Amino acid sequence: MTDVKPEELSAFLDGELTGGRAAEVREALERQPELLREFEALGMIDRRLRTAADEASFDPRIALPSQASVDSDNVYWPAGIAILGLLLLARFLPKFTDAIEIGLAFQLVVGAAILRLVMKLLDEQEPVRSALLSKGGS
Amino acid sequence: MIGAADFSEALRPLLARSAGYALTLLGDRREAEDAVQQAALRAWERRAQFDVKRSFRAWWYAILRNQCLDELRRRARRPRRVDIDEVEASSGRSDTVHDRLVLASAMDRLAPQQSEILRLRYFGDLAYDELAQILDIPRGTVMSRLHLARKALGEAFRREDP
Repeated sequence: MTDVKPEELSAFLDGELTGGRAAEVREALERQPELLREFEALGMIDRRLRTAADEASFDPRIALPSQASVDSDNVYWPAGIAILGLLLLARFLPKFTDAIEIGLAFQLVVGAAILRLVMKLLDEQEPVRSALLSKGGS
Repeated sequence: MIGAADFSEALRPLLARSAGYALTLLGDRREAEDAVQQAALRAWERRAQFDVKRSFRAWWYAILRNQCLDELRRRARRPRRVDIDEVEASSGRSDTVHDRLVLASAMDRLAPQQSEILRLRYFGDLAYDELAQILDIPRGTVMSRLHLARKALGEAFRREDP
């Protein structure tokens, strides 16, 4: 007669015994009514807990972190430095030329570049903002 | 280390069970969602520490469990307001409510180690090796602790709902 430890009954129920040992326990259950009763009692508790776990599950309304948030974080520093550099250029470069038209034209180009950078930053933020607003994580 | 795309792909299928697990620990749907959200952010920040040779599910549940335990500790330090309407709205059919109350009460009767392993096993749907990893105990201890927990729960059921 196979000697089955009590905890092996639980492991058998969970499918956590190795093939050979599982076969021995199965055989013991067929021959030992007392063991079978104990196994059935464990099975009842198992079913009750499974039902409770299934009922408790629900899709949480969360926003999963994504690569977009990392990318937009990373874009802050280089973009900030670029904007600062362009501002400095706009401030000081016209001093090196006498023609006021060239200075104005350069400032116009710099202004457009800054605007484009700001727009790019806003675009990079969009996926993260959408995810957070919709909260459709699942 | 786990990549950004793999992270989302691995975590997404675990979210519903995770929310259920957090709900049984915290007892409040909104707090359970917050806990899952915070744990997801924590996991994201720590994804470089994840060892791909180990179970992602076990790693994730270890983070979520800590998040829930932190929340329970915070809650113990402040008074908590229970929204009766929300409880009634989320309670569903009366027989289901009865079953849930009996289960909750029976779980409360167990030793913390026993209720913890049952929650992780059923609400987290974790295998023995994953339980051993999360709880930092040998696989044999998982086996015996789970068995004793089931026996104790059966006893508690009999007392709660004879």
